[in-house]
Amino acid sequence: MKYNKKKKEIILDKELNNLDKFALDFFNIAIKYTDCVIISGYVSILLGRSRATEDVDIFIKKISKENFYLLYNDLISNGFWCINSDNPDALFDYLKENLAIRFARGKIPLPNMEMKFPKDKLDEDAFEDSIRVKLPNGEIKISSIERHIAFKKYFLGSEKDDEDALHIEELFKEDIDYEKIKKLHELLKLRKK
Amino acid sequence: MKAKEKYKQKAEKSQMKTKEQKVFMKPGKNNKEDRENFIKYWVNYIKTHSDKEWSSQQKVLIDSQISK
Repeated sequence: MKYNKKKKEIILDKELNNLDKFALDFFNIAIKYTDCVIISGYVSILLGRSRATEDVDIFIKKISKENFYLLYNDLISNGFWCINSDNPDALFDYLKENLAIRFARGKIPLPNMEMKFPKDKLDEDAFEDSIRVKLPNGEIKISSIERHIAFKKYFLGSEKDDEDALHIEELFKEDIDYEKIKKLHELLKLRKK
Repeated sequence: MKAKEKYKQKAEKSQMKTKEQKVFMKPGKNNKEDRENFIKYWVNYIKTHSDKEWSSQQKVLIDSQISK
């Protein structure tokens, strides 16, 4: 695993597991229609954490209804289905109300991609404050190391979240910008209020 | 003599291999600390092995829970 902080890039020559393949397939479709960034637990898993998950969180940049239809149809024609509804109008409304919608593939609803629009500036910043992870079969965009740690430690805060943050902290300790984490922590404190 | 030398070299090589493979984890005083120690231990494994090596082990764990 090679992290190039300047280039905001990680080169990861990993053997892809079923969760990686699922996330990569979804990401490759979604990115055709709008900017996307993967956040939260799967970031730690992609980068080696020894656990699985039932969902992969993804922010998509706000798009028009027409563009969402195109994205939805592309997902459906590639074997994905939405577990919240099969009506794209209703799904788009959910997204506009800042609710997450989940897409699975195959017969069972696990794993699923939890898709949502960013709900404030802090969420929107994740698109820019991100890292490209180059895998043997493609590329995924994830939130930055510092953003990931800050959200996990200071916003989510369950035992699992703390462990996910610890994994990333240990992995990248020489490269972490702790000042940036501190600033994000302050912003997250304001959001909690 | 040659055979003895060869045997010695083989034994040294095997000892080195064993040293490389065995890295021990400090047990935690409680469940939380033990889990954290394991995370650090696993990260050390990631850092000292190729992506292909550690990810093939992660794949076994994840694929046992998530089907294609």
